[in-house]
Formats: sequence, C-alpha cells, structure tokens
Amino acid sequence: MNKKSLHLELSTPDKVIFKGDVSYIVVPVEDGLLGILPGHINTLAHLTIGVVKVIYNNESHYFAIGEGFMEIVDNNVYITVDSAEKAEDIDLLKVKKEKEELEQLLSQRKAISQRIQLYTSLQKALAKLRAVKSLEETKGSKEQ
Amino acid sequence: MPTLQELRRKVNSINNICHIIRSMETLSIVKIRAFQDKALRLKPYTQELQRMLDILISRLPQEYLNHPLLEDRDIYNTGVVMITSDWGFCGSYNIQILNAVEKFIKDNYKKRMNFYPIGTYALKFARSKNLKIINSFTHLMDSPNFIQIRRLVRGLVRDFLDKKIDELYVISFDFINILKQEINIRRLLPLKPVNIPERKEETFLFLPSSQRIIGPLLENILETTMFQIILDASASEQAFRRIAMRRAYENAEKIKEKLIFQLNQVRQTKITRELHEITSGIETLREKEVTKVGR
Repeated sequence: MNKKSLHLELSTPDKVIFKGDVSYIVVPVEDGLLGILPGHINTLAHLTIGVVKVIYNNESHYFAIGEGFMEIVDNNVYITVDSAEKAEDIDLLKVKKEKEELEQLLSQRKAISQRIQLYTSLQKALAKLRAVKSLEETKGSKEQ
Repeated sequence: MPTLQELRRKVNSINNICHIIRSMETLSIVKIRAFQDKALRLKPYTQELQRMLDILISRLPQEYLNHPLLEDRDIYNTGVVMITSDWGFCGSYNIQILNAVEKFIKDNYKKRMNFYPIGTYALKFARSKNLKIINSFTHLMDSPNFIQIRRLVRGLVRDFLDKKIDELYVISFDFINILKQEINIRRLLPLKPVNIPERKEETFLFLPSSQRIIGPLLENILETTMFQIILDASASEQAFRRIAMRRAYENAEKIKEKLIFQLNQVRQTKITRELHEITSGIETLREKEVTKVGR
C-alpha cells in the first residue's frame, strides 16, 4: 500500500458508509479532536458524537457520527459507530426542526434517563448541523 | 340448499381472502430477505468490534480485566428476556417461545426471576402468569434499528450494574434457514470471560485510556449481539408467518373448490329444472293440439 495514505473504513451496523484511501482524518475523541496523518502510532480510541473530517483527492468531506470506536493498525483506520451520515446527504430542514423539537422537550421537566436520551439526540442533531456548516464553508472558500 | 346468489357471494369473499393471504405470504418473504440482509451487513461491524476487543485485551494489564460486566457474581436475581411477536397470524411461533419460557421457569424454580418481555404476546403472558416485569418493549420487531436496541441494552446493563439482576438470559428463536428455526436460550450477562489472546508488548495508544475504553467496548459488543438476536427473531417470526399463510392459503383454496363445485351443482339443477318445465310445457301444448285434431 502507498505509504503516504491511510486506508479508511467507516462502518455502521447498517452499512459501510465510506471505504477508501485518504490523506488526513480528524475524529472527535473524549478530550477533543484527534488529527491522523499517515504513519500514525497504532491506536484504539473511543469516539464521541461529533464530526469526522476526511481529506481525499484534496477535498474535505464531512461525516456526522454517533458514538463509536476507532482502530488504527499500520495505516489502516477502522471506524465503527452506531450511526453516521455524510454531510451531503443530511436534510438540513429536517435536522433543524428536530433540533428545535428536542430543545423544546429538554426545557420541560423529565426523568433523568429520558433527559440523557434527549440530550444525546440533540448532540447528534448539532453534530449534523456542524457537518453541513463545515461543508458549506469549504465550498465557499473554494469559490473565492 | 343455499341459493345461487348466496354461493356466489361466498365464492367472491373466499377469493378476496385468498388474495390477502397470498400477499401476506409474499410480504413475509420480502421481510425475511430484508432482515437477513441487515444481519449480513451487521457482520463486518461485529467482526471489527471483536478484533478491537482482542487488541485491547492482549495489551491490557491483567488487573483491569475484572470489569463488572465480566464478573461472575453470586446469583440472587435472574433476568430473562423473552422475544415474541407483536402480531398474531404466525402459527405456533409465540406458543413455542412461551412454552420454552415456562419450561425454563420450571427448571430454575429456585431462582428469583425478573422478566423483560419483548413483544405484546410476551407481555400478555407475563401479566397473566403474574411474573415480575422490570421493563417491557413492544413494537420493536417490525423494523428493528440499532439505536432502539442500544437503548434497550443500556437499560439491561444498568440493571445488571445496579445489581437488580445478577445474570441475564435471552430466550428467542434462531434463524437457521427459511425452513428451520430453533429456540435458543442464551446467557448474555455476565459476559463470558473472553479468551485471552497472546500478550503483546508493542506500543499501542489508547484514548482516553485502556481502562476507560473497555467498558464502552464491551457494552457495544453486547448491543450488536442483541441486535443480531432481534434480527434473527424477526426473521424467524416472518418465516413462521409465511408457513402459516401458506397453509391458510391451501385451506382457503380447498374451501373455494368445494364452494365452486356446489355452485355449479346448484346452477345445473336450476337449468335442468327450467328445461324440464319448458319441455313439459311444450308436451302439454302438443297433447292439447293432438286432441283438437283428433276431434
């Protein structure tokens, strides 16, 4: 395999979302963001809800992900998450509506376990919004 | 003797029933395929997680391996998850599961049981037998998705860690192929002590730390196992439904044949009678004419 690239596989229980050679990956971990370049030390990481940035063919691609794990072994990167969506496929209006509904629900009194569930869903919605926003920004900067 | 009209109406309604049953059968075949497809797509994910666990365990210091999820505690309370369908029309599917549950209760009468019924039939059963229900789930089987299952499993894990239950069994159908399904009783918690692969000392980076990864990783593996079980159970349910519908269709066809035979008979007798009336009418007319001429 080409030493200067990473082989990424991003999968959810439903399907493999992305598979291919990339040059740079950013993933959200518990302490912040983790950037990965080829030649990274072998790693096992617990990923949090957030946005994964992937650069291949000199283009940035974004994925909104749920909780999961990442494994790096000799430039092979495997990411397994409970849910993932490509920024291009995200329905912005739907997510915005969902976010408002969740905020509305969270402002009410609820049992703690329910609140946790709602909060996770809200975080996922926010991650999706962030992914779309990042995508738009990179597109905007290219046009200029 | 039923009238012609009555019979016609009956044949029509049987026809409609046949159509409905046929389409239900086709629908369950499609659903089986969808569930199997899902299970197939889950496989790489599960394998990946298993490999991650192997990596983690082969590099983890021994003392971290006694995670609460792996721990064999003294058993005071047993949790039982039983998976049935939400809807009827699936032959002996629910009855077989519930019989297995009853047998399980009899075999383990010394243990204190707590139940997690999945599906309306399991819930009804648990209520009618006055079993202790901790939590129940319905309408999960139609289109199982991972997020729902995750919530379910998180609840189970919480109960396990809170010591509400000390072990967990799952009673459900395993889908072997479209003609064969088997009841399986699995012990899900505590997780089986993982086989420890060869110890490796090469450097490996764990984020945030190896002790903090193992918990979520084990939980995630449990979730995928449960998802697999639910997909299997759903596929089995549909397989039972398919067979039930096939039988129903055959029966309906038989009844339809009988009815059509009867219908033809009635129609024929009617025609014969009418013909008879006409000919006898003609006969009488002729007789009258003959007597006229003769006079």
